[in-house]
Order: sequence, then structure tokens, then C-alpha cells
Amino acid sequence: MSSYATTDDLDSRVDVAVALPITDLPADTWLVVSTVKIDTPQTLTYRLAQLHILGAIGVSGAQLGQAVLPNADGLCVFPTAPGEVNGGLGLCWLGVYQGFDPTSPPVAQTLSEPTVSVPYAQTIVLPASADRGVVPIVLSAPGTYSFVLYNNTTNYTLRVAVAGQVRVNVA
Amino acid sequence: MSLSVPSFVTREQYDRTLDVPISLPQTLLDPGLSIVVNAFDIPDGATMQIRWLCLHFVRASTTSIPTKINNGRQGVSAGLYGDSGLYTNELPGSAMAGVSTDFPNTAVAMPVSFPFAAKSPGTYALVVQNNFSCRVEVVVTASLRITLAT
Repeated sequence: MSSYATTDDLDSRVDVAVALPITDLPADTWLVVSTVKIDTPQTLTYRLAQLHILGAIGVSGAQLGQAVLPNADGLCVFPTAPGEVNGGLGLCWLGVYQGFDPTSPPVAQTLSEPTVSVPYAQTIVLPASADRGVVPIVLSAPGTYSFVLYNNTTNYTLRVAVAGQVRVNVA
Repeated sequence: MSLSVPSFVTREQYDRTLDVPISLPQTLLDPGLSIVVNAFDIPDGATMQIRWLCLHFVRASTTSIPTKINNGRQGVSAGLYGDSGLYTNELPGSAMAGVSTDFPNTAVAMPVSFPFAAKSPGTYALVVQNNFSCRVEVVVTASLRITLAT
């Protein structure tokens, strides 16, 4: 049901960025893009997240240090098929984890929400993007939520960027 | 939280309210290094409030207990500094407001527990600093609200 917003409504909402400027993420590595810690009775609404692969650089063999460039058709063909660290999970993903443990690989940890993932392919059009759509989910269990980006390839550094937002209702 | 009586938000109020996101994704900080995450000016008549400040100390480059450069300070901290002279590549003075931690975990300041508002015009900067003698990896996620004058 629609209603008017009050000053209390406005004061109780905090929009927090989940943003990563263009970054070279080495093969089989992760980084924390953003972290939000909530307590009872706060909630975290996750709606917008976009992941973009803007380039790739080989890290082994004949592709060492070579950028994957678009051909005459605008397609980027990986000279050597990207190897997947974890099969079936795409080239790169953004996941949200409660209580992320930096001593354990992301794939071994429980996701709070399905990942935003760029599907596996040997030929891609740059920028290759993935987004989670606009259906929000609300996380209400108290804890620390981290948005973690992972390069799931074994042989390419990926040039990536993330744009996203979460809304904390501080009640 | 507002201390005034709740009322409906007018379009004019909404237009004057700017939420500024601040995001430092996981970044490696050398020993003793401070970096400016963001710097901004508050114009005359405007107010600025820290709405959210979350410092995530992800990990350190050593498995042993790291030593501090300055024992009077926390190991890793993020804070708001006023006046441009206060932030440099060296450890700055005391923050006007901030969070800190000695151990890999998350420190957070939020409006309910930690209201802070600046009304003086000038330049402000959000600075994160490493007071350990080893390298650390940190994430800073913050949100500021600037309310412009009518």
C-alpha cells in the first residue's frame, strides 16, 4: 500500500555503496568490495548489483601479459580457453557472505544470496556484464555481510568493475 | 535520528538531502600509511552527518601479533578530519569522529549509536590509517548525508 514518507522514514534509511572502480583481479583471487554490519532490529535490503568485465590479460604460456582484444567483429576470443577454478560457476562472480572468513576460499563458504556471475565462455563481447535484477531481498539476521568478488579463472587476470547499492534500515 | 517531531517529507526537503556514498574496496596499506578515502567541501549553511561508517580489517601480512608504530593509537582506524592541513601521508592527529580496531574484524558506527554532524563550512576528509608495522588489508564503507541550505 502506498503512503507518504516521513522525516523519520528518511532518517532511518542509509544507502551504502557496493562499488569497485576498474581493477585488475588476478586469477583465482578474491577481494572484499564492501562490508556492512547490522544489528537487531536493523535490516539490509539488497537490490542493485552489476558486475562488468572490461578486459582480460593472460597470465601464462604464450598469452603471458597479453590483453585479449576485440577482433574485427567486436568479439573477444580467449586464445586459450579460460580454465575454471570451480567448474560451472562462471568467469567471475560477486557474492554476499555473512561473516566472511578470509582464511577460507569463497567457494567453500555459504552464500546469503545467489551470486551475480558472468557465465563461462571462450568468446565474449566486452564489457561482459551480469546483474542481479531489481527484485530486492531483505537480510535481517544480525551480523557482518561482505560483498566479495572472485576471479574464477586459472589463467587470466580480469579487469573488472562493480556498481551496486544496499539500503540499511536502522529502525 | 531526527529529534524533531516526524512530519511528511516535502519535495523541497527531499531535493536538499544528498546521500554521498564512500567506498574503499579491499586495499593494501603499507606500515604507517594513511590514505584519504574521500574529501569534500561543506558550503555555507549546509550540514553534514556521518550516517554510516564501517571499517573492515580483513587481514594482516603477518601471522604473529603485529606491533604498533604508536602505542597510543589503535592499530587500524578510519575517521573524519577537518581542515586540509590535518591529513597527509603521515599519521594525522585526532579524528573528529571515527572507528578503529586492533584485530581483524569489523568496526561500525551508525546513526543510532553514533550521531555526528558537522555544521561548520570547510573541507573535510575521511582518512583510513594503518598504525601497525606490517601491511594490512582494509575495506571502508560509509555514507554521508549533506543537507543543503534552504
